[in-house]
Amino acid sequence: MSFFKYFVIAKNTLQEYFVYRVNFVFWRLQVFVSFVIFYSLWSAVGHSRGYVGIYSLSQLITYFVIGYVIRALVFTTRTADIGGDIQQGNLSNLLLKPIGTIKYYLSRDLIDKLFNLFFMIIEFALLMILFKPQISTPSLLNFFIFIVFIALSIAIFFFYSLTISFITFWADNAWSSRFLFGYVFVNLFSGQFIPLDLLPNSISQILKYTPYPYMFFYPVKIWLGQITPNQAVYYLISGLANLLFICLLSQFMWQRGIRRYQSYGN
Amino acid sequence: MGQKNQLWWDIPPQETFLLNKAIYGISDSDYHSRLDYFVSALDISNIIKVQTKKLSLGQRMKCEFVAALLHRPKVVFLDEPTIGLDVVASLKIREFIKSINHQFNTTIILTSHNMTDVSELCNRVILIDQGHIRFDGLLADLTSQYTEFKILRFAFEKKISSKAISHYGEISSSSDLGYTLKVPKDKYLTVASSILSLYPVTDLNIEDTPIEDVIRQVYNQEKSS
Repeated sequence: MSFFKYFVIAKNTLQEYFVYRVNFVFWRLQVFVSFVIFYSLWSAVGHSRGYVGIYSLSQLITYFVIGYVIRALVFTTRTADIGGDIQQGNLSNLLLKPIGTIKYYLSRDLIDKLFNLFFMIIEFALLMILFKPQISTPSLLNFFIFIVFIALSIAIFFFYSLTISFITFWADNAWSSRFLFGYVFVNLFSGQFIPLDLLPNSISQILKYTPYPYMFFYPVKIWLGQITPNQAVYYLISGLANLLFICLLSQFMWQRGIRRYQSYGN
Repeated sequence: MGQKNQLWWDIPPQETFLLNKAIYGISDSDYHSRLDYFVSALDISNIIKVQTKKLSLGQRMKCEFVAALLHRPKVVFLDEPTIGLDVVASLKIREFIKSINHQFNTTIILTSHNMTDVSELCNRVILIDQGHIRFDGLLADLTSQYTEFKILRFAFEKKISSKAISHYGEISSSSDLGYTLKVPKDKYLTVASSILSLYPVTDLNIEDTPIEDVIRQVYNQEKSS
């Protein structure tokens, strides 16, 4: 029974998506169009130079095409709603009921990911038909490691996004922090726009100690075979440490924040 | 109650009810019997499958009540439950609150500025002023403790001079054929019977001081003391 309530939350969330299905289609359309722009840009660069850094044209195309799949799996989330729920006092509805607040958002995240994944598969098929990209495929072992890293990426991004939302406990309107940390930093430093090893060495060295590369860059590198299974073990341990840290940080902020929380007009 | 909704905005109230059923582990039979009761008491059978955002405020309030009461809480806190509602919807909500109090022994703690809500629904009243409790007791005691007057409304067959009536008590309002008198509590029976015996009275109403006036008096007394 304790699990069933989260199933109902997921079901209700799914119903909400169907209400705004046109909106969702347009959202996916903008994701697709942005990807096509990026894809065209980088494949033009690859075509003109043959190699970009350590990436061959095929690897560069694979980087962004696989990245498209990763984005649909990792960066789809409903945790960004928490900021608004804290600010508007709607969090009280959850606090008053015998449900886990984090599990509530996790249930909604699951539907968000499934819905995005469904559309992404259709778009991916369209991409293959339109551009016929030459994608390199990983070994079976690398594919398995890739799946493990995707799970790690999803968990890290979930707790990271949660932590950013909890800033609202201290700053009444935290949209700017969400924009900076949740959008600009994530897009730039996770490698979604530019492969991190094409950035100046000093920057990529610093980024190694942050959670950002685990959200996108390392999984793609594993797919490309540019991280060996031995190195992957190191990155996995380091990624788990990052996950533990960000998870504890989000818990700490939740515990502190909830004491400050005030729901006006209730 | 009006400010924070637990109903999911984009989907019908019924889905929120089903979610609360799952959250509170309500059995199928309990859920259906309670829902049937609430739906019929509030007359909402035709709206629980309509998207919440398409409902009027009164309809949403009724559905909020169902969502809040399905798991049969022992205590319900209601903040201005009839605010912004029309007369018919307010009446329906008040009747419903009374019925759940009587049927299920649910304790209702109601905060309200609407004195009709208070006088219709409350047995015990707590008056709070600047964070201090000014009165805590039965509504009837509040009225008897703080009111020194009764309101007597007379209607006469013919015009009676105000001079003749004024020595029975303070005239608070008058019309062509009627007077409203404010009379000390210990004298109102004598005054009523005297006027009835001396003048051609067609109608008489004896009322307590309105609850709004009583409360105003409590606050004024506290301020002046």
